[in-house]
Amino acid sequence: MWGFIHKWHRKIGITAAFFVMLLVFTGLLLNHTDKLNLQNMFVKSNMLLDWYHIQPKGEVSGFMVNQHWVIQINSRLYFDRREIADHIDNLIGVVVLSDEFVVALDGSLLILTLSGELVEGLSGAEGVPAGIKSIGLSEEGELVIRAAHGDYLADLDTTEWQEEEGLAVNWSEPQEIPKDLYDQLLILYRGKGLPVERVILDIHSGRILGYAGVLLVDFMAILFLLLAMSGVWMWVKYR
Amino acid sequence: MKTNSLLFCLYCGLFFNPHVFATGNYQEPSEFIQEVFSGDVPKISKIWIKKELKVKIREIMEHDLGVLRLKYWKKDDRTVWILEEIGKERPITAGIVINDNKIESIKVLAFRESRGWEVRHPFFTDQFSDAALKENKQLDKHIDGISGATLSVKAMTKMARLALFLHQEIERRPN
Repeated sequence: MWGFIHKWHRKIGITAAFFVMLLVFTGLLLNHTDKLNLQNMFVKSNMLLDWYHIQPKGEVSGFMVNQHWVIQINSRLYFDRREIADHIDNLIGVVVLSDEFVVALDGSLLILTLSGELVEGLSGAEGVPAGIKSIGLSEEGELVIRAAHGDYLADLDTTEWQEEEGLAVNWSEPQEIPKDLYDQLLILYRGKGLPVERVILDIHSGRILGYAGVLLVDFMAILFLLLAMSGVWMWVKYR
Repeated sequence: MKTNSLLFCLYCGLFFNPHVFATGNYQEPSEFIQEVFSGDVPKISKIWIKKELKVKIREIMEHDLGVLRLKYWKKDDRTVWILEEIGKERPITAGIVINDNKIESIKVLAFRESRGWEVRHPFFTDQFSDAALKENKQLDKHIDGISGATLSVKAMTKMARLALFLHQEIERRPN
């Protein structure tokens, strides 16, 4: 009996050693995830990004105004090849006024400089009409918003929204994004799609290998238990 | 009978799962502003984030705001700020009222994270009442944290400090 337990304790020990090290290492990292800022560090490996299926979901929409592209990929907004905002609602359209771009989202407007810097966002708090459907310019070059309850002439300086009917408006329309630009943005998008924290958490729990990985970690946990029990048993015998 | 039991379990699960009702828009910013000024809302004012101000804001927020201009509403000694800060992954929107360089009230208007939503409760937000800014741009009051909501607490504290700082900046400037 003694020889049997000793032999299996050694076998289980050597099998479990790698997983103990892996769990200790990932556990230590996860315990200090905020300090290490792991949620804001992103995986660059294409293999891992493919493994996690990091791809844009749904339609990618883009508007070209004044030789510049404003493009939305999922919740992120890009100005040409630069990300300018995240966690945004659906992109509706873009127009250019004399010294700024006005980007219309579902429930708000973003004001950009002509070089694409975000000046500010305007929402319901500033009176932006709810349920924006389109954005455009009137024949006189005034900003017009088509919202759920009608068309509004907008004055962004005074943030006044005047309801108007029968305006002749040149509405902003989406355009097909050039393939090379789309490919470059896809690299940018994927580059910020998978936080390191997610991968470490999944290695720690085994989920990186799907359900099979979870079962493997369960199996290892049982091995650790056997190791502890046989260790205690041997300690008692030696004593 | 079986169906009823199943529905009951489903109902209980929904009712007692705190995450079901935790995230969302609690109040529209426009309603918050109306409420603060009792319907007599002043015109929107704007403050440009220029170089010097940007550096000081970075000290408070630990990052740039990402905008060149911020809006606020001012009447007498009171200013109201609608600010956003990311807790862990998604932005928290807060409405902050500053009166005579002290926080009058702070309210979570929208919470989009999956954890840390407890910061919206008055037991937490009431702690900020009457807090002012010290010279080192920290609050002069201790804010008790909430376990499991560390990052949301941090985000709320940063927004409170930023609103106090911006209020001071405005008061300092000639009209």
